[in-house]
Amino acid sequence: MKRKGLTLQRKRSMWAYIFLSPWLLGVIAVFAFPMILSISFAFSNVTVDNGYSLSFVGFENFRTALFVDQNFLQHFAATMGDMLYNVPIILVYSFLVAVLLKENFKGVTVFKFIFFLPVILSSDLFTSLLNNFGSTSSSSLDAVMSGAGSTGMLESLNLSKYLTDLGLGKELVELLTGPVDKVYEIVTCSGIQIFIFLAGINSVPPTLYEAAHVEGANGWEKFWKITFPMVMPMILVNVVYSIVDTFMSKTNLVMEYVYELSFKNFNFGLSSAICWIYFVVIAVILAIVFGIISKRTFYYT
Amino acid sequence: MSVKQLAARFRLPRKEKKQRVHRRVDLIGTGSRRNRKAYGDVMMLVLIGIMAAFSFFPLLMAVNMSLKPIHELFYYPPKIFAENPTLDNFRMLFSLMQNTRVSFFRYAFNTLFISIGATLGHVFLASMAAYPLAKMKIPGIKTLNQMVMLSLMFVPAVTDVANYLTVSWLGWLDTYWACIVPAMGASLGLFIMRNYMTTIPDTLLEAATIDGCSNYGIYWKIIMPMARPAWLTVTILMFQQVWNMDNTNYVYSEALKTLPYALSQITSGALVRMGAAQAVGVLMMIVPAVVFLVNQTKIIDTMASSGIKE
Repeated sequence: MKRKGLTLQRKRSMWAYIFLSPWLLGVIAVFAFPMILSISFAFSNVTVDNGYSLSFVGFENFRTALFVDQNFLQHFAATMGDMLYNVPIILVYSFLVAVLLKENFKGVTVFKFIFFLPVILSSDLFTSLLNNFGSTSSSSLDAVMSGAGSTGMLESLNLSKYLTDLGLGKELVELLTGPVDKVYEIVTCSGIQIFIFLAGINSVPPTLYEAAHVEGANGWEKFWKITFPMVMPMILVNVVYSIVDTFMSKTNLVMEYVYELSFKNFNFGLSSAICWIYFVVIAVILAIVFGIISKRTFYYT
Repeated sequence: MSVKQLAARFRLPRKEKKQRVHRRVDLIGTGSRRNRKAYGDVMMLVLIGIMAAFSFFPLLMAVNMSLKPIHELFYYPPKIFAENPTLDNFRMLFSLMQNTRVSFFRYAFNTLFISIGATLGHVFLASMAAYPLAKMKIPGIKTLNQMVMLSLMFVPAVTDVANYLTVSWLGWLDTYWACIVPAMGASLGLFIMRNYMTTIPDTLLEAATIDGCSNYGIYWKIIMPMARPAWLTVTILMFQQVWNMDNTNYVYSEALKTLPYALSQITSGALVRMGAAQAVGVLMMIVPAVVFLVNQTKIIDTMASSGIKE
């Protein structure tokens, strides 16, 4: 028998790739090419003249990053610590807020807006506005500036200065202001997560709650047996997003160091090597987290 | 006509009882809804109020900062509320705006054009790619999904150099494309939408296929309406990012530069511009805020109207 046209499987694949092709083109340009370029940077000594030239040095850059460079490992450990501490809190906080915002009480939009505000206010623009002053003013003014500037208010820097001036011990001041700093770190970092969760919670079919209600389930059971498992795919998204966000934010120590290395010292070789070490570690962490969560994820189909 | 029929004629048509959809998440869990309602609602409002206060504080500070006369900005320790609120900062900013090399509206137009173009383009391309990644079982899809994950965590410091090379190779330096296209290729939105789409019931897609719906039809008429909360969320996320983007890496002619650049130029350099900088902060907030509010009113419970009953 002669087969007419494509098989169903082939047809499906063809359609899938038609849908995927615009994005794939983008990925090749935005992702694959930079990846290849940075690998070649990481394994060579990059000299910047008119353009750039590479000379192969093997693992020299990686060795420098891990054993010679004093800053990288230190910054890296600090960033990891931050991540381990912040991500769970961010997730719990944003999930709680999302569950509360799901209840359609009067004025819920106002609350949604308020929870989105820190996202707007913590953007690069506000940081750069502040930095403009930091570079032109003397260092003694800097401290006051960061108190007066729009990003400085997110930290208790001025508070801790004030307390130190009052004559409190340094440890005591840090103990008092530490949680305040963290509160704003968490609040500014969880804006997007709240709305991702909210989208997930909104997608739970109400029929499930109706059925559970008829069966006599109480709210606690409904939350853990319906809402939680149904939102699981979004929890996965948020875990990944939060981890990536903490690691990639331009304000974290490793990123600052990488920027300094590549755009101030033009040491592209070393900075690429650091990026690759960083990248591999994040990939491993994400793979573990992803593996653990996606095994427990329940898909309602 | 019998009496019964006559009575039936004059009786008001029986109102159909509106089916009440029960979708409250009972947090306190006291079981009986009526009992816990008042108590629970108050608890909830208090809780959400406390959390909202933290999020609201930065705005309060920013607005007050912009209203402070210049000397109050340097108070130490800083005060939250302005003692003598004035609009001087805004006046100063507006007079500074009139002296820019290119008309101020040009900067504003550039920013809006780039933001809207990049956001719409990203949502369209990424949702198109997210559909097969989430719902089609074809060979190689698992690898592609892993690739999406990998591209999420690629360090921007590395991609900066390579992106510049790509953009210049394409001949897009000093054009709008240099800002719009790389933003469209971002994979964060794709990742969010892809994971959301996995929650759409397969039965719905099967039903559509059996009824003769094409693949394109499924994407446009089923996937997109169902994934509406996801792409609306991605829209605000993207818009917010692009709106604040400084495009000076790729663009050199003044006429194509964006608002964040122009405003940070205006306000940088001198200490006297400190007040104007605070005003910039408040003004730049307005557009993302409006986008967010409009966006949120469009989010509806998609699953409630999906028509699936099991």
